[in-house]
Amino acid sequence: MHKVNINGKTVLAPHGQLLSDLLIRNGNAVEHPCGGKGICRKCMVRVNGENVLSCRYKIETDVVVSIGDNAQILSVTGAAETGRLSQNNCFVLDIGTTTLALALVCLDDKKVISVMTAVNPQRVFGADVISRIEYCRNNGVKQLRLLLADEISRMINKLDVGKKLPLFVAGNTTMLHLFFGADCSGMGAAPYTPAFLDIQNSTGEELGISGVGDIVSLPCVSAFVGADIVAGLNFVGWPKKGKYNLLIDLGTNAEPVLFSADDIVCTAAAAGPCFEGANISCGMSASDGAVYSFANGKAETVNNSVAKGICGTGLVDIVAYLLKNHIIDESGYMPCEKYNISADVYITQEDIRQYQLAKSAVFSAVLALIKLKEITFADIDKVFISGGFSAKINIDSAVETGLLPREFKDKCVCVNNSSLLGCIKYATENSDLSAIIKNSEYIDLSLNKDFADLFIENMMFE
Amino acid sequence: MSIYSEISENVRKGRMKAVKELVQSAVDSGNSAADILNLGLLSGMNEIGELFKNNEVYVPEVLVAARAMNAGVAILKPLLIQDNVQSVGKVCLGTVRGDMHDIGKNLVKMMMEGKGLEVIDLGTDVSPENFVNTAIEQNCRIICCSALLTTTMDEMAEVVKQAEIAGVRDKVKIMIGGAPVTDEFCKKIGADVYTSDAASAADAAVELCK
Repeated sequence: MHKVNINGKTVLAPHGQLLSDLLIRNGNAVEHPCGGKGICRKCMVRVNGENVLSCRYKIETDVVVSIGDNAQILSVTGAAETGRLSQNNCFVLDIGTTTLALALVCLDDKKVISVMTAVNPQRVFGADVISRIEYCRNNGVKQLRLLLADEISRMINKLDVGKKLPLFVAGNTTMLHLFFGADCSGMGAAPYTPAFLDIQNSTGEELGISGVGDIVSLPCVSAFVGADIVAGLNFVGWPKKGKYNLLIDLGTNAEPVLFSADDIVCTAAAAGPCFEGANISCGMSASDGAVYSFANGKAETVNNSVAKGICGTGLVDIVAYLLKNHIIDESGYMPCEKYNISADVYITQEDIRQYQLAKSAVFSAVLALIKLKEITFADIDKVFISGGFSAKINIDSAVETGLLPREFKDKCVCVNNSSLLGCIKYATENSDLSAIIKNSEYIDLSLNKDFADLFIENMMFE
Repeated sequence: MSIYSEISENVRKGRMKAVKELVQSAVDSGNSAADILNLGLLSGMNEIGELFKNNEVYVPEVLVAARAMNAGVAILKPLLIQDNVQSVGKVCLGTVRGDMHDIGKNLVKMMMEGKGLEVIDLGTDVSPENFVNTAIEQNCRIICCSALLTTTMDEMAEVVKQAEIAGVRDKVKIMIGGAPVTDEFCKKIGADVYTSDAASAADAAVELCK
């Protein structure tokens, strides 16, 4: 056994244990977007004053480890519509792969009292759903379920309501499986069979979540189109007769949904993790010091801190800037080795190429749906962009870099967390979601001939 | 600049329209289809393959170059058949059962075609039986399996097993690749060759066909 001092607290570790395992076991939020393969370099910590990758470092002697202050609770904000605590309240939770969002809602006046967000603690087991499904396949679902339940209890405890309230839950299909402790292994490979899609009922007591009475989850459409998308559709509303609306959830998977009142087609395009900063040289999540905007050569960072890296929205802006100033050409070629945004933050040719793959995946998925329905861009009334990404995205940059078609420029509405908002609407209005489930059709892009061609065609910045 | 190097350069730059025009004009002025293919189209694709191996170009450039090359090959195809030009060897490839991720597989296909191999693309979610039966029926020298997910890579062991059961293991080489796959894994399941990128896969396949 070795003594490991983590930020001043000493714990014991068996000889040869991976530092990342020890950190996870002790509840330290070090991120492992690559699932511990040693390639993303996001789990860097300092051991005896030197930088090491915690997923590669074996403990073979007593060491002192220091990790950056990684505050778990991201924000506690009063929502725009402030209701009041009454006899009739509930909690509404959106379980994102990356972020949890919890709202306290007053059912009498249908208003939100407060919203709190936190990092999904399962993130240390990999940034994407596949890494987590793989982990559960090998180790069972219990550990991830409890990690999530504990974090939710902690959030609820902070809201300090003083009595048990019902909880409404939305999230993608995998996250709901991990929340209820259901077997998710069927979703690890085609034909992607989930254990359930219907509305689930449980209680706080059963799942070990304190401060919660009855629990209800929203229904899912398929392994890829979860309750988060269903909730999103419930929130954004239907287009005029004869028109279509589009809802795009931007993340590691971009999930465009093209819908009219009685016809819903959805798909998932693997955009890769670049919008979350994971495979970008200086990429990072939208936390302290992340460049989230870059206009006219001037970087804006989260909390106005010194620039530490680039988050998704910053990347879109930077690529648009490089294009506009001919630092990269329309094929994406960058003659210089790297381009510095600040003293320590830069972007490379490979980063640009990652962005091209991601933007083409999104753009081509949207186009494939439009072709499938034999409509044109003009038939689209509104484009709703959701995901944490949406709050800060510059639509002009998105259009200039070909992430979105030019025709969408004046049609975009950013809705931030449409899943949480749609779940709140469900809780307060008792919405009927059966039509959404019944009318939804999921398109598998890997079987779509158009998509393969479109994906290559839209790769460049022309 | 010769017409061949002009074709080659335009393949490299991914200019599909220019490649089509140049190939047509080369055919019209009496150049042999085999020369246009080898000295023009394939040479351009080979250069991209080398740059890709050295991390000097990335996936987008390869995809676009391959599209330009294929547009040129389409024009030459009837002439190549007419002239009875033989391929370097025959390969069947696909992503393994349960895996729908085909970008890597498509890259391998493009690189192999760039080396003059004949590639039968079985697509995604291919069962071990389908791999093996295709190899037998089409007389392929190599089965190429791709997997992106840790949840699906074990299917590759199944392909090796099926080839043994069918009694063709000594006739067919099995190559594997994909993000989670390693050389160690290749040895463990008894496959023949692991390569870490698409260009190396094409080189290895050409070697195996010699």
